[in-house]
Amino acid sequence: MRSRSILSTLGWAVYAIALFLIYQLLVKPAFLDLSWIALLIFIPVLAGFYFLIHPSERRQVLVFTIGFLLLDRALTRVDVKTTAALLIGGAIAVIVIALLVKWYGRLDWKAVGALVVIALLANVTFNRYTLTALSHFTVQEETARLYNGDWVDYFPITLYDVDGDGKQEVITYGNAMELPLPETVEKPETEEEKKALAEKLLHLQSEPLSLYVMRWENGKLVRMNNKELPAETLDRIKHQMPTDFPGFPYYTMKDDQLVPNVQRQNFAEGMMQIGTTPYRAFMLDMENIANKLEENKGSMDLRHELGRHYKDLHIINGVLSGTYDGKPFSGKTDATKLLTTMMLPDGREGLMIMGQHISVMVVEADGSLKEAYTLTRKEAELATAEFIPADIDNDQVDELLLAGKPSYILKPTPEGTWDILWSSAEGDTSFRFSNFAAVGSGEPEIIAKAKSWVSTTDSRYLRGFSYSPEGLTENWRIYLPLINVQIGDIDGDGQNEIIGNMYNTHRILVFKRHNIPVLPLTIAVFVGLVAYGVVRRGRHA
Amino acid sequence: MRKQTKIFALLASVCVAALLGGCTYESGPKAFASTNFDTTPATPPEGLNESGAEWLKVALEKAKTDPEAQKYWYKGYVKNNILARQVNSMFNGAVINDKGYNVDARIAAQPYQYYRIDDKHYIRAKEYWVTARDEPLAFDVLAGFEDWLPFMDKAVQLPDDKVYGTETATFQLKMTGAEWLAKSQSPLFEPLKQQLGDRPDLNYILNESTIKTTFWIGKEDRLIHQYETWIILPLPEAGTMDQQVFFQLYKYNDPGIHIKDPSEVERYLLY
Repeated sequence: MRSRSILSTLGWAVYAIALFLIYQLLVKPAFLDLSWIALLIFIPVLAGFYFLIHPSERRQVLVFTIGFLLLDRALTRVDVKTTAALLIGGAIAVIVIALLVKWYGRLDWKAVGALVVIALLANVTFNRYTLTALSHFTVQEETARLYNGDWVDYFPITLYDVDGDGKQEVITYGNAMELPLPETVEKPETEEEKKALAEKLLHLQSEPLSLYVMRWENGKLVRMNNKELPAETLDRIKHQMPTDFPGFPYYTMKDDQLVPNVQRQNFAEGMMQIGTTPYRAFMLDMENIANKLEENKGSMDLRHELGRHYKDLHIINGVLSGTYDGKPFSGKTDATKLLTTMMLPDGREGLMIMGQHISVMVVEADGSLKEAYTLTRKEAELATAEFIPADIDNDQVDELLLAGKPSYILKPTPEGTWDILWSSAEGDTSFRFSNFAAVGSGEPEIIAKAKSWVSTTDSRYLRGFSYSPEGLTENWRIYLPLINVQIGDIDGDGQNEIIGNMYNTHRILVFKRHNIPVLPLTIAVFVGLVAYGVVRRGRHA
Repeated sequence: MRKQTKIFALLASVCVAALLGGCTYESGPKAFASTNFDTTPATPPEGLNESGAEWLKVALEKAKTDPEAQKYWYKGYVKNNILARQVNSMFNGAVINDKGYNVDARIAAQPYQYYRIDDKHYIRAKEYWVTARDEPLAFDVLAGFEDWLPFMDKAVQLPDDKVYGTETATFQLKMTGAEWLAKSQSPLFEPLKQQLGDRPDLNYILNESTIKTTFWIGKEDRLIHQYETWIILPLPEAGTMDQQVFFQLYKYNDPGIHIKDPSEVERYLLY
């Protein structure tokens, strides 16, 4: 009798686990990928399930199913701002749903207990973002919010081995430690308090901003103390950070501060002299550029090292200079940015620079510069594009992944032109290349953000692709709109992790690849559940 | 096995097959999708005998004198594109000339409201109304348009366009920042003009920049309905900064335009 009771409880628990896996790994992705087509498929499937269950058990199973999914969802949405709110909200969700399930489903307490325990375990034993990636990845780490300011939506992230221990550190900007959030927000009561708040609200405020160098320690990202980093190291780290202009031209990053360049009243009144708006915008731009040039001593861009062969690169006064394989070179340029390098068909390493257009320069034997390839604004929207060199066909010549609208894979030809190997579909404004790197220990893959082919929204998820002349074949997906994606070995195990964050969250996520065939296993669970239902129904019939 | 069970098993198999199936993103057209960079304007319509300068002059005159042009809605933005980042400021609201305006504004993702009526100025930020205390700029919503007049003789007429259903004549002018600065009489440019003597690096930026402005002026009412300026500037370490300034003035003389009485703001004033 007792063993039957335990079996019954275990049976409900196993059903809850199967339900959870099927819902999270099959049903939700199907809707995210197939949109309304998933609905067309699942309505008859749900109807099938309904009739598959014997009428005498139908009520119990349906109420358990809905109750479990509702409780799981409720627990994921509980307010987590304070521990008390978390506990009280969670307890209310558990009690209400447990009582409803007990009363309406006429389930025994053991089934209700199994429902509650599995829902609780699903919410406290692992990072829920894992569910968005579980077919190939687990989430190893999610940091706390690193930025507590008012307005910056994201900061760049880069990976760099700061301490030479073979593990890459994660580097970004933040101010959570410098600008802790108040425990409670008090309403101003006295005249002094009101005046002080009014003063604060009248003007845009500066915000502290620091480099956050984060090291992998005991399975977590832990911030290194900037004061313990030598000045030379900090300088090197700053040079590793991707160029970014948060708030430009309305804010400037200066001396560990984000400083406003405009104020609310004056800015609104200036813009409301509508004909002057371009004049004011232009003056603000030029003021910022003048300050930037002054700070850089007239230099447009500077890199100590780029690619395999280039060193001491400098653009100043319309001249690009540096060394290639130790030999000095220089030449005229109208570029303002040193982008990257790429291996060219003639075996030389080209230097990609950006002005109004893109040029790939090569260094001639006499130390002069020659434009080997060019990409104009007429051909592609370059201003907001990203450029990723990638040898996608293993011929020792880099192709160029151009992330833009549309995105292209361009192969440099020996004749100095570009061969378009692939382009994103007409009208697909979502697709954007992100990286070319090995994730885990496999071969390098193209990593891109893309939406499902049927979706009408611009929501896009991170996907890994392999290139072939037929197109890009998808290898994996993470159902999160990740940005700032970086690939590198941060835990020193010789395998690369995916590091990224989501828009306006300022929390860094670390994804680790696994080799468990989660999706086939879940499908097997689904098929097993259906088979069990069929057999059980056959016995009852 | 019962018939409904078989049908269900079949549907479940279809689902499993769909979930297991991989997918390949085939290539789109293997040719560059041409952008609108440096496009030659299409042939303008015939029948307009006046120059762009004349159209703008008439529009500014009418805006001052036409009683039906003294109140209108507006919306505008400044979009700043640098590398993959876009930073915006936005403005929209209504204007009643010689009386006041309200502005629903946003600077770099920070929303606020600005309310100006007669000599009263208030800002609403983070749910609180506060009194704006900086020295106000002149109340002159169409200020600055006359500064475009010296350039309009060289404006190219584009094909007619519609702005919120209003048929407009469209004019476009293009120049470098250096030309803009040299020819403009706008007092706003004075500080930069004075700075240039010591800064050859800024001269370089100005010479390499592009300024493109387009006006949409109503063919019937001869009022400004829309204007846009693209400012493309070389930016150190970033290629270029592409900045779009865009404004629409619409529903002139709309009876629905009402700017609330100051007392409605003052009752919520924090300080």
